[in-house]
Amino acid sequence: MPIIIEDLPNGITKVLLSGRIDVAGSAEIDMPMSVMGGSRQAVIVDLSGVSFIASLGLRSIVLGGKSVMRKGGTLVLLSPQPAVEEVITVSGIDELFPIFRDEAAAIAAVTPAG
Amino acid sequence: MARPDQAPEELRITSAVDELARLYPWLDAAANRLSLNPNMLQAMHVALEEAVMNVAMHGYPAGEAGEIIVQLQVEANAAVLRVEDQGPRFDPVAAPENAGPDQATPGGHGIKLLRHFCKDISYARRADRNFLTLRFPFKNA
Repeated sequence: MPIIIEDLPNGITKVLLSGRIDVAGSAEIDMPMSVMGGSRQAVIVDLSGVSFIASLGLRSIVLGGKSVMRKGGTLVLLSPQPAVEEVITVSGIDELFPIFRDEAAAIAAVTPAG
Repeated sequence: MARPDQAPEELRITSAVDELARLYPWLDAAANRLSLNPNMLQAMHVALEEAVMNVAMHGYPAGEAGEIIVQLQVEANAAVLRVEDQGPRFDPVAAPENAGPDQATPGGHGIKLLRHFCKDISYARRADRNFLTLRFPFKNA
């Protein structure tokens, strides 16, 4: 399964994606990303294990992330490989869901103030 | 070194999801047989997914799987991907980009990604078919 959902302390969720998020990979992450988006508030999507993504895979992330945002939550992206980062920045997805290289900084970014 | 004299590699699939998944291993194997530099493959994979998903999502009515023919050929200065389908006219060269990060539709990002990863795209409509040609120049050609 190219998606693992982990609970970190303080209500933070870490979503680990891995492998090729192509047509088949997107089909596998679609439902879990949607369920995650509907139930979580502070989300870090770890992309370090993803070797390929294009618009279909981005769509799953964006839809899940928008559900998180509609509830007033935050979703950020962590450590994409350069090829994956290029796809993300060309799409402009990083304007909605910023990219962090450091997990501590990502945790700080999604932790609600106060 | 890629050889321009070889016959094109061809894949015929339908727009059904399990068929679309065959694109990636086909492209890897075809590129390998044509001795393409593996460094070219990332851009080709993204561009090919976008081009074919445009057809699968917009070209054929929902639930109706149409045929898509993909070819890879080595020319003197470039690797060339051709995508042919029988769907309604769709020209991604002229299509609006649907810019903006809020655009969650695959088509919106898809056109942007297609144009970023392939700078030389041409489109033709002949005999009720769409012909899309994606050229990837060799760096040291």
